Amino acid sequence: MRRTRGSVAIGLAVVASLAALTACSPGGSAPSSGASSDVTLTVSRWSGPQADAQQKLLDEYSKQTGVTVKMDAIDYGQLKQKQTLNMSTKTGQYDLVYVPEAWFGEYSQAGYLTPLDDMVKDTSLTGADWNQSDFEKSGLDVYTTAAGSLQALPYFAQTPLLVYDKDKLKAAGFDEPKTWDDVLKVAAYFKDQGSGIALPFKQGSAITNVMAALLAGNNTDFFDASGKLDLTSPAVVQTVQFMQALSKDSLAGSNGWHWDEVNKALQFGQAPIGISSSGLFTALEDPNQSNVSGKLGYAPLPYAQAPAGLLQTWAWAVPADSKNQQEAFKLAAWLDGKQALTEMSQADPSFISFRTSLAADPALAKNAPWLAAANEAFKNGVTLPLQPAAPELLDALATGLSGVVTNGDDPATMLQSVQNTEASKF
Amino acid sequence: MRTGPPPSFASDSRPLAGSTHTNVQTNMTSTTTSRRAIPRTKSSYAKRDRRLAVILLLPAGITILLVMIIPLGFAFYTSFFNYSLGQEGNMAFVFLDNYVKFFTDPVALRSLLNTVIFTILSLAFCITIGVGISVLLRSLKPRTANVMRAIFAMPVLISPIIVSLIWRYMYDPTYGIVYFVLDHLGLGSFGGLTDSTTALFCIVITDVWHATPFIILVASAGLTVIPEELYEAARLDGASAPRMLFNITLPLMTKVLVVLILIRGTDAFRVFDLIYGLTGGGPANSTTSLSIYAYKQAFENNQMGFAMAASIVTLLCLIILFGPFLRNSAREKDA
Repeated sequence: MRRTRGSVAIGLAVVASLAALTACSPGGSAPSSGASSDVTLTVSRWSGPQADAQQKLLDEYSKQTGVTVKMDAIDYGQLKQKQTLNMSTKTGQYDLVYVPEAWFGEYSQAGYLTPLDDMVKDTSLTGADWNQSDFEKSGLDVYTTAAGSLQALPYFAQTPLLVYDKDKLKAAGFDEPKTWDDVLKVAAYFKDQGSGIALPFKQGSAITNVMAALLAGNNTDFFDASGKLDLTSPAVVQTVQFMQALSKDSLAGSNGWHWDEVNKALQFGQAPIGISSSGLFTALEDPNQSNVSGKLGYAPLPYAQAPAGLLQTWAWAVPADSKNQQEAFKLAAWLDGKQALTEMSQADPSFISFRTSLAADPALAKNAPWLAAANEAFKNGVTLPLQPAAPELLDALATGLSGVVTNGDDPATMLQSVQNTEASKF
Repeated sequence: MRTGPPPSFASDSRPLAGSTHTNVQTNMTSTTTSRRAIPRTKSSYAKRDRRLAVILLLPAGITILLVMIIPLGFAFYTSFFNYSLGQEGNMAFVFLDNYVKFFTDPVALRSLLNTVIFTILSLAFCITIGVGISVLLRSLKPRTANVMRAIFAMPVLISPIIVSLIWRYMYDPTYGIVYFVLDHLGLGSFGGLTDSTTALFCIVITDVWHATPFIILVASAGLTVIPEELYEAARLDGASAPRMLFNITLPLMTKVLVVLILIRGTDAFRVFDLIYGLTGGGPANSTTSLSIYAYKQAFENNQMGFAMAASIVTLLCLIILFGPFLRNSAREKDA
């Protein structure tokens, strides 16, 4: 018994000595480069290449401020579900959430988000070099409620663009395709040569994104001036007819492709021309990954009336149930600062921010040759419909468009059918 | 109260299985009788036994209640409401509207039809190919059969979503090996996953590739209980291979086949990952299954009540289609 007690005592002494040594070692103290803080912030966003770059920035922020930042990066497919469950049940788990414009209205109406109007005016929170007028107004508008309250800081934008192999088009005698007619000619030529245009025409969100941008380029919309659904207007029918004509000259399999497959076809040089999303363009210009880096040209989607684009955005919002709202806003403002945004774009050139001063930055444009085309698209950028019933409309349109490009369904009949089923919801 | 073996045993033509079962049954009956002879119902032992039984069953009962009964009841209850995810506080009672909406929505009915077609085709191919291969493997030397079985079993180890990604690229007209082969056979115009008329069939092929190994494994195990003497006797009587298959193998595998149909059928009816990864339900909803439909309603269209109604309809379909098999399999166990 005595021996046992002695062993326990020795053991405890060893443990205590180790604990003391650990406490005195550099690893046990607060980071020397920054102030210590008891605050721990949890950030919710989607996982993927940009999330890796984001993690580095968050680590840098932790070093500078001593604030511990945890990133909960999960698959995009589960992100909304997880955010909603946490905010609706007020778990307080998240201090900063990454929100696209499509979810913003729902979150805002449900009271999940903190108004940021006062915080953006407080330079002790934003930092001295915060300049709100530097942000693209269209981005700020997306995250401002009808009552005029800013509830998220616009952060990242992407848009579908036309991508083409400059050498191949030049060899075939084509200039940069700009209008519907231009691109139809190019697509028909390459279809005859055995390839065609790569299109993200799988039944899903990409095909409706392309439709929205093409509608904007034809000076029309899903809705009429009074806000009523108007899918049977001649301009809308004409736009879908163009999509059908273009799909006839598409690369084999395009009708089952999403953005990533189109990007691969461009990246490996199988498609001389295609429509892809700017968020994926880094791979196209990476010589280690791409067969065509340095050979590609970028343009806004072809138009009938004027160049236009689709604004697909993400922003940082502070949940109303966060216990560290000011600290969370400080982090959001830091991430949306010029320095952090530049670092993010350097790490991932497909990252496009809303700061106008960075849009023309030659150092960034060097690694992101699509920047000029993207900015041109953003100038006349529209968002997808954001009404509560919009997902149902887009789902019905995705199905209808899939039938138009796959089965050759009549565009006017399809649009009339969707109009009949969805009009009462708007 | 059971007083003896059921009539089916008297006419059971299976000598080995039948006789063993009868002996066991007789023993069980005598044990039951001897137990009844002791008047235990009022004794403290009987009470203690009952209490112990309740205590031992309680954890399982609570678990079933928490993870099965309550969620199912909640799903059934919420199917009578309109609400969005996270908006459970603002639920609007609509009674049967969600069910009426389901049965009047052409997309929902299409997804129901797709699911039934998918299940029938997948089940038919899986069972036929799986049992066929198992029977062939039985005729090989044990060592060869084991190696072949291990090779055939590989696809079942891959998760369905990975299978869908592999086959998506195999089916791709630009990169895929399927079209590489078809082109050489002069069949390059095959629609594959991008044609409404062929997409569902392509998914069935993928599912059969993925699920047949499971059938092979279970059917092979089922075949091991069939006495070799029966085949020897049949061979001596000059029976052909097909006759042995239909008169010996399949009748003696009935129980195994019922279980396989039950497991594989319900699995196929609930298919989600494969379709989600291969086509997402397209083109033009030609491959949308009930699970995909319910998922889209819940997480894309934000209609949780309607999605619950679609899920309840799926459950009812499963009960209608596979309930008789379940009952039959339970009866067989009682017998």
